[in-house]
Amino acid sequence: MVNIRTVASSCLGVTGNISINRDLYGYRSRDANGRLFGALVSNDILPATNTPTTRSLKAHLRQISGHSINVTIFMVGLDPVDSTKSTIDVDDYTRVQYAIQVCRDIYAQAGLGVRKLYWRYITPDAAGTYVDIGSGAEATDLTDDFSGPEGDSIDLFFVRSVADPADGWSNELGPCDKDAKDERTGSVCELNPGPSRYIGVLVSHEMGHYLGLGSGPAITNLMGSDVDGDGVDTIGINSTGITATQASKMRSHCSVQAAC
Amino acid sequence: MANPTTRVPKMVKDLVTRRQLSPSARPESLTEPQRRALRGILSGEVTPSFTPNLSRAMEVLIHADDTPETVELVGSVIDDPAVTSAERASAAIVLRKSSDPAAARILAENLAVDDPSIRIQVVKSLAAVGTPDQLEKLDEVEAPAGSALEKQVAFARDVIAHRSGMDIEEVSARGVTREPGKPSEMIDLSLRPLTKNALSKDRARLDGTAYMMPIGERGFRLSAGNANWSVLTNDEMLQAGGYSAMFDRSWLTAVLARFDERTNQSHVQYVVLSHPSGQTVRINVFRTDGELMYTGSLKRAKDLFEFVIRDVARKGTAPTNVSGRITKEGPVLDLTVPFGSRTKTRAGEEGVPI
Repeated sequence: MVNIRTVASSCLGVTGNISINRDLYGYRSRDANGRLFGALVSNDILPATNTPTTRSLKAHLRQISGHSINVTIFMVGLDPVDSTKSTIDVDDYTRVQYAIQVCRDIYAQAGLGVRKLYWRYITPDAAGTYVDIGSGAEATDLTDDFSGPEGDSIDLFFVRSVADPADGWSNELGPCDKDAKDERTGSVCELNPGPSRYIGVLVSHEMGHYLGLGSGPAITNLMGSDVDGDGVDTIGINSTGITATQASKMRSHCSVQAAC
Repeated sequence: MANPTTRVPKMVKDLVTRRQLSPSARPESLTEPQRRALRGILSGEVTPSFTPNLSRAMEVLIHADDTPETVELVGSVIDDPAVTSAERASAAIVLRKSSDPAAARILAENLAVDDPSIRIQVVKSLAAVGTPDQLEKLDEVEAPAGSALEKQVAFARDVIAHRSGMDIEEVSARGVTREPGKPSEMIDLSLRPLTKNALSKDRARLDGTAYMMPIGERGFRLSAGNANWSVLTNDEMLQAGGYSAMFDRSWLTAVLARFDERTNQSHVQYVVLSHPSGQTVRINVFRTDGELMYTGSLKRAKDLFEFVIRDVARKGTAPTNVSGRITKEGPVLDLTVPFGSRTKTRAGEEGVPI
């Protein structure tokens, strides 16, 4: 039997009044229509339930009590004072929340929870040109310049655009020292490359690389398939499968937190 | 009234609807119907039955049909209010991959674009392809003091001036002298010449711009920890007298292309600028966003030349000192102090303020 207060306290450090979405899931935003996951299209369905938004709190608590990762989410290009300078809006936040929920559903198959979300942002002036990522080298520059101060998380950067060949960049087997020199010390993803579910697959895929996974065996696998051998994996909204070997590898990454 | 939907060649549909466009999927040339369809998608004259990815369309066109017409069309997207800001930024980014002279002119015409996040990409691309003809327009860019835009404008000016051999104003930044730390804090750093064959492979791997620098037949592999770069040198400089020419005028001396093991591609990460300064040559290593990362000097010595390069004190610097000689056989490193970790990286701001 999973007890909400016990998990909240021992895994998330939350006591007192508990908001399920804010405190247990880490979701902080709603759009103008009050939606946690924003506007969805017909094929935006969560992998665990095959419905657009249905979640199981019981399953979530069980997952985050087991082996889990924490994620520091950097929203790149947010100006909280002058919205005309901002390349991020509230819809981007709800889109990211959906992506994280898709990722939670996918990683649950590997016995890996996504426990804590640390939300951060980078102003347009601090980000400079890295609001848009023109190459893999620029993705490295962004992750070199910024690191989540939380020592127990993977850094995940959302930018307005990522130029070809990919929608995201991540090292295979990323380091746990987020200040490691000349490493790509986080995953970088485009904010809006397709339907909300696709962003979730993309996030899961890029963090999958960070957790040690290479190219996958098929497009239905989370790591897709590098059919032409050019290092760019083909993935789509149905790239959600995880093999037992992949699951084991993900759980052995240095960023994975013990059960709580 | 909206345009009726138009049939487009299947290959074009495949290219502009795919999730990712790998270099191997980019066609080297286009048939006339393909070119017409892609241009029509960009101009809005063709309305396909699917939602096209304009960034992919621009990337394909610049790669396979780098002509003044294409450049003009891509340039028109930068200031097009009918498309998303991400697509407008992509247009500015794609133009830095063009080798057509029209790209610099069109970028300069867009320096006053309304959106500052797009303007900075325009300036960044001008650094890659601009000529002295654009310096006057760069001077007119209004950039708040200390802003990222100001830094990018200064860098664009600097690159254009060095590439053209113009007189240079001194950059005042100074490097920091580092003492070696504990062995566990250090990483391996090496520099070795590339064979002709290896250099040829490295050139083929380079994706995108080399900052309009003609690549010479002398190149090096720089390795630091797990990271590798191709150091590609300026052929014009080598032809003008080799490294001695660095004492004669300013140069875009070299670019450092970061190698990505997964995609087997490389992209320019650092740009090396040099200019004479008294009896020595000043060497500055910039990141492509205009951030000065390393600085140093070169002087004449018995072995030919001696050099020293140090990291600049900045948030997130990777403490590194390198000194050595350039002999007839090429550069030799005598002292390297490369730390494995960055210091004082930025953390952004905490919270969700919207």
